Amino acid sequence: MEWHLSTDVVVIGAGAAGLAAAVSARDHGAAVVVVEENFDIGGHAMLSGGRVHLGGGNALQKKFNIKDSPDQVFADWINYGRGDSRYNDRDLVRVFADECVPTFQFLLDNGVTFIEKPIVTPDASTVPRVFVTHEWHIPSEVIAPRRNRNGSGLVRRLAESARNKGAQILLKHEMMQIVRDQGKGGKVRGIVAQAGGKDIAIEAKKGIVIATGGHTGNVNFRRMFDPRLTEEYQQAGLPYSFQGADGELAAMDIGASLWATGSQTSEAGPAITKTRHVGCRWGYLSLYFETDSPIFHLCKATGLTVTDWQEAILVDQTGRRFWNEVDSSYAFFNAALGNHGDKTKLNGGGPIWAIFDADAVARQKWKPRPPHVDPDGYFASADTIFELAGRIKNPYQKQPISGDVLQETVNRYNSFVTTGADADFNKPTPLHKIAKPPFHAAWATPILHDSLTGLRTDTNAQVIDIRGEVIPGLYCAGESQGGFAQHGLGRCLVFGRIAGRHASQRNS
Amino acid sequence: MQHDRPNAISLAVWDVPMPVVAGETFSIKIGAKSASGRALAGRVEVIDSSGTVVATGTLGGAPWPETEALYWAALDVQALAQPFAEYAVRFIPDPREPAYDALATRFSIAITAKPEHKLTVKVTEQATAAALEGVEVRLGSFRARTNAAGRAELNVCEGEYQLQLFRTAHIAPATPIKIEGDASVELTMLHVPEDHPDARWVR
Repeated sequence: MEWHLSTDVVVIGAGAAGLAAAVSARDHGAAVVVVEENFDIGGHAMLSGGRVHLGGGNALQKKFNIKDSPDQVFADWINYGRGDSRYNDRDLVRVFADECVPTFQFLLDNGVTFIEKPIVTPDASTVPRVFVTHEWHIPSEVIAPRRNRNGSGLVRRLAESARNKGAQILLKHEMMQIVRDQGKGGKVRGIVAQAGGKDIAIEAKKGIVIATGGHTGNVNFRRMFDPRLTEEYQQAGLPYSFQGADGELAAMDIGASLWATGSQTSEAGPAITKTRHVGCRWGYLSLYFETDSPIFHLCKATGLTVTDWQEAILVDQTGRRFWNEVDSSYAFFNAALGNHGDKTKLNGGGPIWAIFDADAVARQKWKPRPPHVDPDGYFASADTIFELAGRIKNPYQKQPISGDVLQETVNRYNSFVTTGADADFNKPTPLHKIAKPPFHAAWATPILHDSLTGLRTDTNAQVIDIRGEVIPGLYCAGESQGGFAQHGLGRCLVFGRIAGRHASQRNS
Repeated sequence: MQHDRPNAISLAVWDVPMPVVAGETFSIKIGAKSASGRALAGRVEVIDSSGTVVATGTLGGAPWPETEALYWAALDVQALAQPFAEYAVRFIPDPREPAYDALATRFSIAITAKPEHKLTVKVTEQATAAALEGVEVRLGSFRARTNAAGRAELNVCEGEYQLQLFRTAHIAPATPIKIEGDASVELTMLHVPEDHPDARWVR
């Protein structure tokens, strides 16, 4: 094969895991090329809250007298009593636990700064382990500025450090293929990336780190774990960070295995989340794109932020309520993803719409017009509920909603407000009638977040094939890695750092 | 389906008070909209469960604010003596109106005896003692919202109730209360700040 570029370690993806791998590999003396398909670095982490889950007795935990240890981290994250810890690969968790403190120090050493306030998280951790990075100080370089997207500070600092240490980051370079020697035990040799319509072959003399960021945006791939997740479910992080499973697919093409696939459907943590900003396509809980976001032309709307689901009802693609709107548990999601009578599409629950009136708009101080809502399929208004039904048009809404059905749904709900009891779904004390015109319908379909399964690796982050053998030279970290169902940045950083270190120490 | 009803005239009913006093008159608004968006002329009627027309009104000449073409009328209706009542609403077009497909709708009301007592509720935040504005106060079907001073007044009937408070990002347990005369209560709500992307306080 003719290589256009040659280096020691190729890292695929410039998010939290990839940047940690790049810095770590440089620290251990390897030449590093990072390829990133996006126009800028950061991946999912750029849009994250910057919550870094690294306990075990790190420097800031000590400062706050939080008693913790690697053994406690290990015990917490293999707890059989919880869905986010029950299915974890204990070998991976053991290494994670032991590497938390050095990884936290690694971040400090590379310029990452933290807000000195420990955060308690609703997950398997039994002591506060999360500290939040500072948001990047240049708003125009924060993709979702002024909304506490503190992950921008993490990835900008790591990218800065990686570049200062000599790593080369190639933006708009999309990995198309991982090249591996033929035959059992064949080594990986490099990758083929595409940039500007041209193929660029990059040799990796020591190793390749897959850090492509998970699979939740790939409909076909995600349905391996949950067939209900058909095309109507959008991916959090878009339209900036696409989780297309390209790392997983490229690795599986050369024999890699998936691992701990049950974690994806363990119904613990935010694999599926409620839409919080309605009336736009991507309304993930904590992600809000202001109009001066550099990608706002792609987002098209900020959405209307729902802080109280008493302000609206949620109806399915037939115009009927399906669950108690104030519930945010997986019982809600399971109801939303149920088959609502569509005989032409049995999987997936179809679009979910928030229906509300002018009084809700006034109470919430919403502005139901662009740029706050996207009338191109994700928001509609009308003078009557009957008329509103006919205006709900969206690529995923396969059939029009019956005006009679939606009118009946609203009339029935309003009668529950009168009586104070929801006879259908037991919404506690339904508070507000949907009565005052104009009326609105806003996209509120659940949105997908965490990739909780991915490629099988050993404790050195080396990818394992379907026969249980290491694929020499191939590594994986971050949301593309399987075996550890922890939400957020901690596992990405730990295994990114391990992958970069181990790859750099391999013989060429 | 609406798409099969291009000549539909659909209705909305709003500003229905809650609760209303048995035997007293209450006001509502009814609007009618043609699918084509044309100006509508005609009457709207309110019909009780026995089929009796209990109120009627003529649509005005201007649409309701912020709507495209919702022509409306304000009607007075006399409340029944029962605790819950549902009414049908229909549109009777002017004979000069072109062919139409008028739809009916309905609305419901909670009916109480005449309230004899005044309950004053003051709501503050538990940690700061700051007055809480915009708290939805519920006492059975009686309701009010607190003002900037955190105060709300409700005219209520004698009886035993659960007093409930609702405000975004705040929680408070329901408080049992017995109304025997005018009364005042001071209550607190706990602020539950958003601290995690999963935003536990988002209901």
